[in-house]
Amino acid sequence: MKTLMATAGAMLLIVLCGCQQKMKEGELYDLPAGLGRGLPYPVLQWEAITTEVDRSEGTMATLFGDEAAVKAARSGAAYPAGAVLGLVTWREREDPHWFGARIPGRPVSVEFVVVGRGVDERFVGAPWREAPGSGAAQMEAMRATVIP
Amino acid sequence: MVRARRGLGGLALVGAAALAIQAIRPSLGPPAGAQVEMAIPPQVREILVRRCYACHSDQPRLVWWDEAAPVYWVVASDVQRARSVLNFSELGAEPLARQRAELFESVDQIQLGAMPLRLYLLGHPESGVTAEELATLKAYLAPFGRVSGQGTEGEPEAIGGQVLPWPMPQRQPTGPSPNGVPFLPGFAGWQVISTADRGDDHTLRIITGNDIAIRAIQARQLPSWPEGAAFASIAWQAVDDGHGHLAPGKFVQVEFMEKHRVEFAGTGGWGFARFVGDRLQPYGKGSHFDNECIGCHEPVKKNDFVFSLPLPEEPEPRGLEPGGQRAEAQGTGMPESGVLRPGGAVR
Ligand code: HEC
Ligand code: HEC
Repeated sequence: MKTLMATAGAMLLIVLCGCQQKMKEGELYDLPAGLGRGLPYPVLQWEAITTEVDRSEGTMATLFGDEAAVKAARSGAAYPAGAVLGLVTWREREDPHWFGARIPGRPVSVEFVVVGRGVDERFVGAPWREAPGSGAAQMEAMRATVIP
Repeated sequence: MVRARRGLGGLALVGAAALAIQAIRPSLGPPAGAQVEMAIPPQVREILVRRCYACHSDQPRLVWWDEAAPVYWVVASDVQRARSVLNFSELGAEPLARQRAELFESVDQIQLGAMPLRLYLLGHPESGVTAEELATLKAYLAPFGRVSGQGTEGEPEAIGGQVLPWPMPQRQPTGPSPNGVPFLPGFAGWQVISTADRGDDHTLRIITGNDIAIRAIQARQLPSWPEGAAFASIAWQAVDDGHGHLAPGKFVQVEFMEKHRVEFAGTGGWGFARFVGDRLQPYGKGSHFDNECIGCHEPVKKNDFVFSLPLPEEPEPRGLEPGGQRAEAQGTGMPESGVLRPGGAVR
């Protein structure tokens, strides 16, 4: 009987505590992975073309594209001149919700390429600093990993 | 005097009733399934036996106060429920991938404090998994333990020598999800909320959210997701180029969660559906297959059953700030909508 009452009491406690806990922002959003201000394009609002992981660097990168780039990538066509690609590279971090998964951690770099215009700029550091980019060829080739 | 007698009579009655209910005992005998233990190291098995077999096995272990009704009824129902979702005594009969998945789910349930059941821990102090035991389980599973450059992160079983593009253009599933949750064809055009490198099943995933979900992120209204919010978790086999560089190979599946509080009240307010392989075969047997989905998503109940932590909303890009009309100044010839539409939508 005692056990039962203890159990019932405990149940009530759990229910009460459960309702009152207010969650911290960091438990709701992937805050460290935010890109913040200072980039020329709203790259995270674009659609993704592919995503890759570099085990030796401990990074994960997602290639985004503007409308023209995404359309070309998905139809298997070459990127038209003027299409913009954005490669966001994050340091990986352990997923706090799932043992065995890694998710975006701190951003490492964001690189934008304007196809056929010779524009390739890389942003590094916090706050973002502009550095010369060198990944244009690699970024333009990336779509081949998922598009036949 | 009369009163005292009546009191005694009442006590006797209660006593008799307490004895009588002991006769009502749901059986906990071993179920019919084949007894096959997993091939796992003894130190791992010992932890499971010590901490989990009380409920998740064909040898339920009850202490004396569990044996007395009505506590027994609670315990028996726990054991029956526990066994129906996960029975370590029989798991060895399942395919290896399934065994591995259950062990990962186990570590996760322990880590998030969902297992052993909290109520059980209250009645059975010191039955919880210790930090050391958890570390042993994790070290055994070692999701990222393989040396990079082995080229074994999931074989690229590309169909017809081709790797499938995403999205599969105009593709439709071969049938409806057995629970009636609809396929949402626009998922590849939704905004990315996160990506995942899954060492447990060697997949890469992109998780997208529909407009309603994205607006909820912008409005910072989590943890409760609004009616109509939907997510897609898109998974590909991770293919290692031999140098620890992983790219998506064969398309594995797309999974959906769509919020409709009333319609899907039985599964936390979310409709779950999964479509597998390049033919998008609906997954699951029977209309309640989604118990498996909500079962694994349960430990993140406080996040409204959503695992992914969405990338926080971007502040307005530089190009949109006063005086910063960058795209025009550059004259890159990009379609306007591709860069400058406020609220960001290129969909
Ligand atoms: C007191 C009984 C009890 C103990 C002890 C217990 N569990 Fe459970 N477990 C349950 C019940 C009951 C469920 C069914 C889901 C629920 O009601 O929460 C469950 C569900 C699960 C699930 C989800 C399975 C699914 O597919 O939905 C996992 C994984 C799990 N338990 C792992 C463990 C592990 C690992 C341990 C030991 C560390 C453990 N459990 C100890 C009772 C128990
Ligand atoms: C073994 C545990 C497990 C099971 C079973 C499971 N999921 Fe998930 N699910 C996860 C994890 C971990 C994530 C987060 C990372 C990812 O997307 O891979 C997730 C993410 C998702 C997402 C993206 C939104 C979110 O919660 O992050 C959807 C949609 C989803 N799952 C649907 C399903 C459906 C449908 C089923 C059942 C057919 C299912 N899941 C079964 C573990 C599970």
